[in-house]
Amino acid sequence: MSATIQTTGLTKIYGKTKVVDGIDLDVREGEAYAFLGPNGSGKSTTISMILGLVTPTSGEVRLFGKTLSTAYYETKRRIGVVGEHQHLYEELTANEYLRFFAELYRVPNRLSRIDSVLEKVGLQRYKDLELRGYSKGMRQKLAFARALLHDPDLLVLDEPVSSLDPYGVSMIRDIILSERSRGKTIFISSHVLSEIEKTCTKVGIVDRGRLVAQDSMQGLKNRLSGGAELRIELAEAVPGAVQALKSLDFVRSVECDGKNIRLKVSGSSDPRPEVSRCIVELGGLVVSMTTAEITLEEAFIAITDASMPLLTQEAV
Amino acid sequence: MPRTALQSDVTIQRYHTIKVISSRGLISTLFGPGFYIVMCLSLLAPSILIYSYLGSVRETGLASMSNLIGTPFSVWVSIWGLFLSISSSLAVSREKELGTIEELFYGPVGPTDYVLARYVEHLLVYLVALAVSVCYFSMVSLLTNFSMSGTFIPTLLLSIFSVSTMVAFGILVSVVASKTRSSLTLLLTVALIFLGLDLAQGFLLGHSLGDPVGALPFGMSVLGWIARLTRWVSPFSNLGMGMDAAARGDIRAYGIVLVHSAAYSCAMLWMAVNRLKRKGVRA
Repeated sequence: MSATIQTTGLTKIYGKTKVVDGIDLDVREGEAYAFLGPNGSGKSTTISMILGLVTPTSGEVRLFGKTLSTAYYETKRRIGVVGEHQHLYEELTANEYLRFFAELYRVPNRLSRIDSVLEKVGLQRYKDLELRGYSKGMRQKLAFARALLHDPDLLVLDEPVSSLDPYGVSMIRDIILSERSRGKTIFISSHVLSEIEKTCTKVGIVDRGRLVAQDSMQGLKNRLSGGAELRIELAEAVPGAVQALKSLDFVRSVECDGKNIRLKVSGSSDPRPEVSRCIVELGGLVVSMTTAEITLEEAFIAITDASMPLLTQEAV
Repeated sequence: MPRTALQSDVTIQRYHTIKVISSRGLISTLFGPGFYIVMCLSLLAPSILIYSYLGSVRETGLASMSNLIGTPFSVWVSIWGLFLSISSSLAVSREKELGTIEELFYGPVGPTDYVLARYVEHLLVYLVALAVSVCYFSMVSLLTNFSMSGTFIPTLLLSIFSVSTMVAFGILVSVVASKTRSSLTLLLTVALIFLGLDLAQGFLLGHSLGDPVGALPFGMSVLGWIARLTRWVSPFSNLGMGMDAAARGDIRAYGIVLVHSAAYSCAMLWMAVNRLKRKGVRA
């Protein structure tokens, strides 16, 4: 997989404040990358630098392996963006607005494409309404339609569901998943971590301008929880089960409380068949087996909390 | 991709971007009330001038002006120049303030294309207005039996170059300022400074005749130097200089004004592009 977004030592200084501090991002083709961080951590500035809206103080951005200075139009035509705030031409209708952008991006079969993206975001009925009459959620959906209009290879989404109702959130999630399944790269910055967990495969966490973690979703969770947890309920206690389970490669710890066993496991493959087989061989009967993982929210808080003393110490 | 093919792709895309953005701007201006209000005002002022002149010809029986159209047309150009310089000074800062410029720059729009598009858009608006004015002045010429002088065509051409400098200057102001209010203030301040210098020179010129040995000649000479300098720096002085040259039949001076206007416009646009590249599109 080639790199779709690659930043090297990306830094932005405003006055005496280092807003972004040497960020090295690596987003591969086809990945759904969540770019997370607390408010004021430098996410939006980083995104602006990636998109060429803000000039970095130092460092480099490569999109599809090229810098914007060497392949500006070629690169920009392959990106679709939904910004944090929607600034639309209020005097236009949705149809006129999309027609203008379709022309700008030189979209073939403009009219049918416009109809198709409006249908996708559920705005077909309102296409002839002036944008000044649009609600926040409708504006967000229209921005999504604009971003999808030219069928981009990379979608950059800054808080894509912030103004949407649950139906809208679900609609946008479906669109993101469908784009992902078509091999498109998605780069999302959002505070709605439950949505991120459902749509993304890789996570980068930025705090006070620094990238403090970058890993696959599962890898990040495993790293923080010390592995996934497996909860097993047996029909009745099985003598020797603890020893037998401890001997399995992927088992890191075992806690047994009569019929209930809790295992900490490592690795990315599903441990349940092996655990089940082990218990059955000892003559036991598994009633239920569930995996419990650390949530992304817990991981996010753990990482950003942990980076605070580290950063303070370095600053001193 | 070979370098030449890449360059031609860039040129095609740039041309396309400029065409799309400037067309949208032109259409939105033509569908807005501003264009028609300025058109009415700009035709009203010359009409009053022509009407009062014709009245005096009727009364005295003397036609003192050989060129009936020249002065009213220069008034017409000044009104449009002022409108377009204000409009262009708001063009970029308004989009920065509203944030719509960001949405454009998400896509295949670069600083050079954007600045050129806004420049072309304003120039196109002027050309549409100029077409209307040519019809109007031709009609006046037919109705009054005053033939258009030979300087009318050079004046038309000159007006395009002059308006070009005003628009380019307005765009630079708009890029430098982050808010519409500050860009308008900046433009008006610069315009007032140039106007003030012009008036001060005129005032001293009037008084120096009665004070040939006093301090005024020194002030006159200083102001004279400043005026000569500002004539080449001010975006508003090319029309006057060019019309003087055309009236004198001085082709060389006329040519210099045209070349100066073109170079001035290019310099302003180049500075605007570089400023936008360096500072980004955020207000």
